[in-house]
Amino acid sequence: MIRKYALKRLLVAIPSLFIATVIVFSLSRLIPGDVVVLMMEENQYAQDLEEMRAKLGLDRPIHAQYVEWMTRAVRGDLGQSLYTGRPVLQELARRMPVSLELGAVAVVFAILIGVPIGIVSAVRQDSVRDYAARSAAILGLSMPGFWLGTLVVVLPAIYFGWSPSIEFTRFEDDPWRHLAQFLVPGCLLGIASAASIMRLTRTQLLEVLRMEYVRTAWSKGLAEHPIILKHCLKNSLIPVVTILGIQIAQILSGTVIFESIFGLPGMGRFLFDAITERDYPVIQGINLVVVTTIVTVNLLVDVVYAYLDPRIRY
Amino acid sequence: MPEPVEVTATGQWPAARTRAGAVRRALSGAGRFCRRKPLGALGAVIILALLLMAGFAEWIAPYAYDEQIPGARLRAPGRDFLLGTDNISRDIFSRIVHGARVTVTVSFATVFIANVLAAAVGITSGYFRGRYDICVQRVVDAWQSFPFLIIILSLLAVLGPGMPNIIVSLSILVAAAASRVIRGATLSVVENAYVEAARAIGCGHVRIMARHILPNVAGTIIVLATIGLGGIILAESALSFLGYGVPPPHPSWGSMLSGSGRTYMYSAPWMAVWPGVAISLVVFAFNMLGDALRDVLDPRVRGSSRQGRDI
Repeated sequence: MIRKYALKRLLVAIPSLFIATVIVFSLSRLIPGDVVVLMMEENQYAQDLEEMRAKLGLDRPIHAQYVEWMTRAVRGDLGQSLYTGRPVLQELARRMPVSLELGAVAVVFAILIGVPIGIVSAVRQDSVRDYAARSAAILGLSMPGFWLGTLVVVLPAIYFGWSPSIEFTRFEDDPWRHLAQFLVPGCLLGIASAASIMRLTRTQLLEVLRMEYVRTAWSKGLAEHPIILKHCLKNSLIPVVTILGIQIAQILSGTVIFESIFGLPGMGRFLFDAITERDYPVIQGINLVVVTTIVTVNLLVDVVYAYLDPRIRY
Repeated sequence: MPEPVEVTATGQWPAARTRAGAVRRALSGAGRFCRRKPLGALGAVIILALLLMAGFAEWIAPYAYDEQIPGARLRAPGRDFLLGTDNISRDIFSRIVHGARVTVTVSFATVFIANVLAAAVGITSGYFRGRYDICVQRVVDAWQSFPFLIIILSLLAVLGPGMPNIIVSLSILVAAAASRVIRGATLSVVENAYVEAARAIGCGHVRIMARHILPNVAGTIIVLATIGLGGIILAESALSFLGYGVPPPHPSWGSMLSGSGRTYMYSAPWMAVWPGVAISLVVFAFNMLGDALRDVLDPRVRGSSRQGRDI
C-alpha cells in the first residue's frame, strides 16, 4: 500500500521537476541584449557575440540545448563558471557543506523553540501565556532576518565591545570555533521557522485534544503529563513533519542573507556573488541543485507522512 | 456563506436595504470587529497610518528624502531630528516616511496582480478540474518548489533591477502559492447545490465562476491578500537590503539598512534600528489583521476556540 502511494507520489513529482528545470533552463534565455553587452564589456567573458552565445550554449536549436543541458546535468556537469573558469559542481561541492551546517543548526533551533512553546500554548489555550506565545510568534514572523542579523553584529559591538565573528574558520583549523560560528546566524535563521512550527504545533494539538480518545484518557483518571506527552503529542506532531519541507525552502532563502552578513562562504553567498558578476552558468547550476533538493525533500516528506499516519491516502 | 435575511416584525425589509442602513451596519460591524479582535484592530490602525504616511509623505516629513542638511551629520535622535540623521546628513524620519511610499506601491501592486492571477488560475482549476487542473497544478508545484529569494534574485539578475521587474517577479511567486489555496476553496464551493442550479438554468461557465463562485471565495482571497502583504513587504525589504530593490535615491526601508551606511552604524546605532522597526511594525500589523480576518471570514476556524473550552 505504502509502496503504491510512494510510486504515485513519484509520478506526480516528475512532471513538476521537469517544469522546474524548464524554468531554470529558460533563465539564461531571458537575458536582455544590453546585459549581454555588459557581460562582454565589463566582465570580459567573451570577445564577441558568437563566443558569448557559444559559452551560454545559445548557438543551437532550443530543444537540443535543453536535452544537452539536462544530459550533462544528470552526469554531474553543470557547466563552467564564467568568472572563475572552474566547474560549477566543484565550486558547489566546496560551499554546500557550509550552507547545510547553517541550515541544520537553524532547523534544530526552530524545533527546540517551536514545539515546546506550541505545546504550552495549546494546553493553556487563551491564557496569558498563550497570548504571549502567539504574539511572540507573529512578531518572530514579522521581523526581517537581515535586520536581526545587523543588530546582532552592530549593537553588542557598541555596548559590550564584542561582536560575533564574521571571519570564516575551517573545521580543520579549529573544530570548536568552526561550530560556534554557526550558532548565532543559525539561531536567527531559525526564528521565523520556529514561529511557523509553534503555530502549527498549537493548532494540531488543539485539534487532537478534542478527540474522543483523549476524553477517554481524561475520564479514566490519567494525569495531564502522560495524556499530553504520550497520547496527544505523537499524533499532533505528524503534520509538523510536512512543513519541514516548506521550512527547508525558507531556510535556503535565508542562507543568501545570513551568509552575506556573517561572512560564511556557503551556497547562498556564492549565488549572491554570481549574480553580482552576472555569472549565469553558476546561477542556473545553483537553482537546479536547489530545486531538485526541494522536490526530493517534499517527496520524502509526503511518503514519510503517509507512513506515519496510515489514514492519509490521497 | 450568504447572510440570513432578517425580516422585522412589521414585515418590512431590514434597515440594511437602504443606504443609510448599510453605512450603519458597516460601522457596527467594524465596532464589533474591534471589540472581538483588538489586536486585529490595532493592526488596521497601523496600516491606516502607513497609508497616510505614503499618501501625504511631503506634508508629514519635515525634510525631503534626499535633502542633505548642512552641519547635521550623524546626529542622535532628539528634538531637532526625531530619529536622528545618517552619514550624509539626511533626516532618517523623513526617509522612513518617504520609504513608506515604496513599501506601499510595491506591496499593493504585487498583491493586486498576484491575487487577480491566482484567482483566475485557482478558480478555473478548481471549477473545470480534470486534465486542465492536473496540468496547471504541476506548473504551480514547479514554481512553489523554488526558494523565493533564490529564484527572485535569479530572475532579477536576468531582468535587471527596478520596481516593475520586482513587482512582476514577486507577483508570479505569490500567485503560485495563493492559487493553490483559492483552488481548494473553489473545490468545496463547486459542490454546492446553487452551482448546479445555475448550470441547470443555462448559465455559462464564465457567469458561474464570476457570479456564483468568486463571491464565495472572496473571503479567502481577502485573507490571503492581507497576510500576503506582510510577506511581500519582507521580501521587498530583503531584496533592497541585498541591493536589488528599488534603485537609489528613492529611500526604501530595506536599503536604508544596507550599503555605505553599514560602516557608520557602529557609531550611529539609530541608523540600524529605525528602518527595521518600521518594517517589523508594518508586517506585524498585516499579520495581526490577516489572522483576525481569517478568524472572522473563514468558517472553518470561526468559533473554534469556543469548542476548545468544552474539554
